[in-house]
Amino acid sequence: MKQTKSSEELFHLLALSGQGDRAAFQALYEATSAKLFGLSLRILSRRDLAEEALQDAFINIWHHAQNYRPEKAAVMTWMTTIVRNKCFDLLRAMPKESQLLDEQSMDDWASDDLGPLEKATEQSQSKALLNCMSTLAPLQRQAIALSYFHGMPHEQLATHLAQPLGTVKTWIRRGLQSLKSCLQGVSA
Amino acid sequence: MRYDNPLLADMLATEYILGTLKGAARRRFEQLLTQRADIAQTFHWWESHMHLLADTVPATQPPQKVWHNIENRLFSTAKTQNSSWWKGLAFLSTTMAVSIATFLVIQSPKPLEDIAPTAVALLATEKAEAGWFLDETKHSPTDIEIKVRALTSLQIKPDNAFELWLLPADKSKPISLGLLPQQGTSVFKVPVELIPQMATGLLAVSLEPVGGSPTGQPTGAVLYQGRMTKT
Repeated sequence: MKQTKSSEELFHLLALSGQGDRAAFQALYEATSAKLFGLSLRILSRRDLAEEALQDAFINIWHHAQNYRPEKAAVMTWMTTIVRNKCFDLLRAMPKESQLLDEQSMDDWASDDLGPLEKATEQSQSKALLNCMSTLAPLQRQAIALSYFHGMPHEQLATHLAQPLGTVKTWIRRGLQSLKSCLQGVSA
Repeated sequence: MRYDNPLLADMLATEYILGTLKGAARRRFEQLLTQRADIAQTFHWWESHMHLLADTVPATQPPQKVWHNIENRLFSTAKTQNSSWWKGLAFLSTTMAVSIATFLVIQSPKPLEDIAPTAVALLATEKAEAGWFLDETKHSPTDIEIKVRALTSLQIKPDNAFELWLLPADKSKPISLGLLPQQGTSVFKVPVELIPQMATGLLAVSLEPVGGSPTGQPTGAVLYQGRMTKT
């Protein structure tokens, strides 16, 4: 098992990549690509597309490495945003009927036991997030996860969860507010 | 001001991150982020926490070929001829572009100040029908502005938008440079990271729905083409 790199190390590698250091860029890829590929697979459910998204995302990361501003977002947050956006670009380009939903993973979010999700987490902050997610109602959690991993519009979410549109919107809004209070309580 | 409501700031930030904030509302929020430090702070808080959701996904090792492809696309000087959408599109020969561009420069009135354009481009169709004239002003090596002028010969399409793309010389994916005016002029700043590629890449204009390509890549026909040529 490869040792997870600290965010300072990732920052160092990204900064060097921004100066054109290819070895640093490769090290950055090796340190982060498995996690980011997992995310692409979760969003796209198709290996070929997930590979394409990861590839395009890293091309972008190389070209934009020098624009990265540490005061705005952690390296992993910044890279996650790029990968997720690439995935959504591909998802939107796909015909609606071939967009697959990873049902199993969504059931994980509705379950009372978030243990399986916690197994995958590598950062202590993500464990804190999961703890706070576990205080929400299962359907609230699921709505937030579906929205995050599938970029689902509220209308589509409402259909998927068989709930009125207004209810789904309120769930997400209130769910995120509770999440915020919980997370701020943890870090305070 | 209504943006002082912290609940609204939370709502906009989370909807922006989730992707449910769309169109004009999304662009307004992006603008707001540049104007309001407090809202930007709320946004960054949400961003750093919501993207932790991605950490709950099991890590999966991507196949070796992904890295090889990245390396090839970024660092290989050998031409990798993929089935790119613009393949075979080099209909406008460089010499022709240069000659038309030179013609236009001579025709245009002399600049009042000594900030002469450092490079120009003419975007034209396969049949050499000119659509836009671009001139670049270099204020500093990292501060380059391009003025775009829609020519009267341009066929206006009120139900569509014309989007300008940079096709990097390394054949990587087209990068959007924004929408072109159908009348009059507009000015855009070249993003610093694109400056080297602007000199070597090709420019292309595709026909898109109003507001621009919904996918971030060209979706409609490529009608005009050209390249920046140093004056």
